[in-house]
Amino acid sequence: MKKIGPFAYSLILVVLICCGTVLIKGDSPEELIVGKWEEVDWNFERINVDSTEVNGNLLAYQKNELYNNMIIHQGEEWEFCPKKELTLTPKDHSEEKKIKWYLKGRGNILELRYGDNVVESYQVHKLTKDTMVIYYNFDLQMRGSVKITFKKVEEQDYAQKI
Amino acid sequence: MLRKYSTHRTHDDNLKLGALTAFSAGMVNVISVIVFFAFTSNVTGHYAVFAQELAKGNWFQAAIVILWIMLFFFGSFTSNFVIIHGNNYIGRYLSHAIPIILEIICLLVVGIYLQGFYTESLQETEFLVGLLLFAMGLQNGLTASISNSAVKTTHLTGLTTDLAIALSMMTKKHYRKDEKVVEKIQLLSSIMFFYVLGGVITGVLYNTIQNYTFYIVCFFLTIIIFYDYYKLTILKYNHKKFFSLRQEEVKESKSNVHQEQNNRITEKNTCY
Repeated sequence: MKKIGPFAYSLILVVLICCGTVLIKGDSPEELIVGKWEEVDWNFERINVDSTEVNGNLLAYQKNELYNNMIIHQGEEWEFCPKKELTLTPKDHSEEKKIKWYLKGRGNILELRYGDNVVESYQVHKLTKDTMVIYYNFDLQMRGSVKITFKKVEEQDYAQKI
Repeated sequence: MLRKYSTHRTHDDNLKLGALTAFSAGMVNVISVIVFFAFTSNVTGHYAVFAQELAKGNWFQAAIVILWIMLFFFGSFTSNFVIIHGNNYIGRYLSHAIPIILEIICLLVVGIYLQGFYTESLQETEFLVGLLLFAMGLQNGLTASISNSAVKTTHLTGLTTDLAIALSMMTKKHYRKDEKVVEKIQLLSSIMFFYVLGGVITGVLYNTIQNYTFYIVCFFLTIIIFYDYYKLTILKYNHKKFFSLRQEEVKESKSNVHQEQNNRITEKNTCY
């Protein structure tokens, strides 16, 4: 019992050292997110509706809410630049959109800002070197939430291209 | 509000301290959610998030969350450390005021940084959230320490439980007349009310004055410090006045005694 003090202080020190090591050696979400990401899946969680069936299955009010609040990114390529710039390229390469991106909280909130004060926020559910899963944050308490899954596009260097 | 300790505190002291600190904690919590998407006045959720991040294998995020929890811990540690060690060196009032002064400094740093230097990078967000958690730890440590754990103002989990218990006690006739139970209900409900009020006011204010809201929190904390300072100076003034009056009275009575003695001597001399 007498040694509880030194034990507690040493435990705190160990925790601090471990945290420091993880922070130095680990990859920050801000570093992981940088690069080109391709949308591979886009669907409604919980109500089990596929993106292709959205119009047929969603209730009218849910649809209105969804379309009013979200700028739908389907089949797009997202390129996150380190300078907080995000380039959205549709699959047909028709028109590129440049917006700003920010990670908030502990890296669990992705905020996209369009020019005219439009802000979209997503919950980052998973972020690894090659996979990213994000959920759209609705204003309304919807039964399901939009889940978008990405795969990282491997950047080919010049030699590989040839 | 600040200078009294433990059982020497009155219900009124706790009520004032609880209301004002809960108000500022509510404000800080709402601003941090708006600006950083993170709660800063409570750590219960952070423990859950820590476990979740560990389970997911997100070591980096888990380390960040545990550091935030540690900062809240260090805040409370610092508060009590200053209170118990500073009491003999710098006096009770100052040792109780230092945690609030440190909290004001933290909030000012966050406010000024947000206004002039914030580039919205994740590192900055993590650091500023940590600083706010440290500030809230300081406040919670101070209020809990000096009030003998009667006042805890940065989170409402324990408070909601205590309030529920106290209210359930009121269902018995015997406790309805118990002054302690009634006072407890008054204290807890006022903390709850002011915490929510602080949050609502911040939600409204933030749209117009944005990061200046931090200065308003600092203003309320300054009131806590100066309220006691004012009281102390008045007490000192009254004390001095009382003593000087007494000294004058003593002097007067002494001189009267002297005069009487002199008079007697002169009377005696004239008789001879």
